[in-house]
Amino acid sequence: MTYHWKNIFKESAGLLALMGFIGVVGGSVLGTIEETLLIYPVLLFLVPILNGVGGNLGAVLGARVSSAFHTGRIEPTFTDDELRENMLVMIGMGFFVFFAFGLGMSIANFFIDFRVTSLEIFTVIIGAGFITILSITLITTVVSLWSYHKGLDPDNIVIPVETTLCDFIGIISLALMVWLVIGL
Amino acid sequence: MDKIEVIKETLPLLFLLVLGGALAGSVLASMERVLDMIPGLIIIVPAVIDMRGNISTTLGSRLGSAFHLGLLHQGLTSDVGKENIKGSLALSIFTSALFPVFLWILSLFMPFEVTYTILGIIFLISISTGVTAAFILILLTFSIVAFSMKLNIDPDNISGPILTTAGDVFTLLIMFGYANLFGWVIL
Repeated sequence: MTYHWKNIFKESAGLLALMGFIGVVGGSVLGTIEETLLIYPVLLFLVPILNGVGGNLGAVLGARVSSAFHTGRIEPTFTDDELRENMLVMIGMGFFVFFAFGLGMSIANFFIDFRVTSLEIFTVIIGAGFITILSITLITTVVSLWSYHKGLDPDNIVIPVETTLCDFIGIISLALMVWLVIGL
Repeated sequence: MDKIEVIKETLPLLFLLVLGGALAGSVLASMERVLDMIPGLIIIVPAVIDMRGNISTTLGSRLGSAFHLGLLHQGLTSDVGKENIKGSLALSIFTSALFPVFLWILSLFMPFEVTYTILGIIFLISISTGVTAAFILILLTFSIVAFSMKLNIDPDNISGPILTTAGDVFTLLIMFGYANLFGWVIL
């Protein structure tokens, strides 16, 4: 495997342009619901955290799986045991982080008033966090396998797709949990 | 599988990420004034941050694979390193130039308007931020891989989280520096 900058550019440019466009659309959508989120400022504060943790877990999974495909350590099929184990470890870590973060925020609620109850903030974080983690693990794995079978370098494809989708899923799952738990 | 290894190397970073996300959120909140001065800038902020993360984490991921394939043995200044730097820079310039175009296209369909002066300012901010942040993050990516090689850590487990978190904070700070500069000179 050799690298040439023109190949790197060719393989990534179209995809990144598409992801950039989706990102700008997302930006304008977030811009329009900003005022609703401003009623509960704590929810705005959750957006970068959901996107950050979800996107990064996907990035770690994607990078690990890509390297393992290249070296042949993981068979590029959904039924590979080591692939499944990798997915489970990511889901476990994600759940743990959001559980701890939810607990921390509901305790913080006693000292800083977030204008919601501790149970509400805990449920919103756990729910939105779990939805984001589960979807992003699945998306990352599917995109890794797909790009590998298409003969593309997963290193160039998986992370851009996964992080862009994570931003959307993070915002949507947050909105969903707010609607279910607090109501809009 | 090296389950314990990935948990040990990744989990502490995830907790740092929660703090990093909070920091990025606070930086964004404190830049309210300049966002008000350049209407439309807020719309490209998430996409610009995301793109920085994408370009640097794909670089990190490629270098990680190269490391596992044993291609980095001659050091990071080898052809593998140089071609990856050139690829990253080319992608940064290309995508940065696209954001004002996307914004203009969206303004035709979405309920917001941008003037050509504002589009010009956003073009300058986007390109300058893209190139400046690219240089800083390429340097950071190579440092992370070199550091992992030295400490015998798998770069795949740490490069992503560090790059996106540092990328968010650096990109926001650089972007608002340029936004203030160009906004002040032109408006």
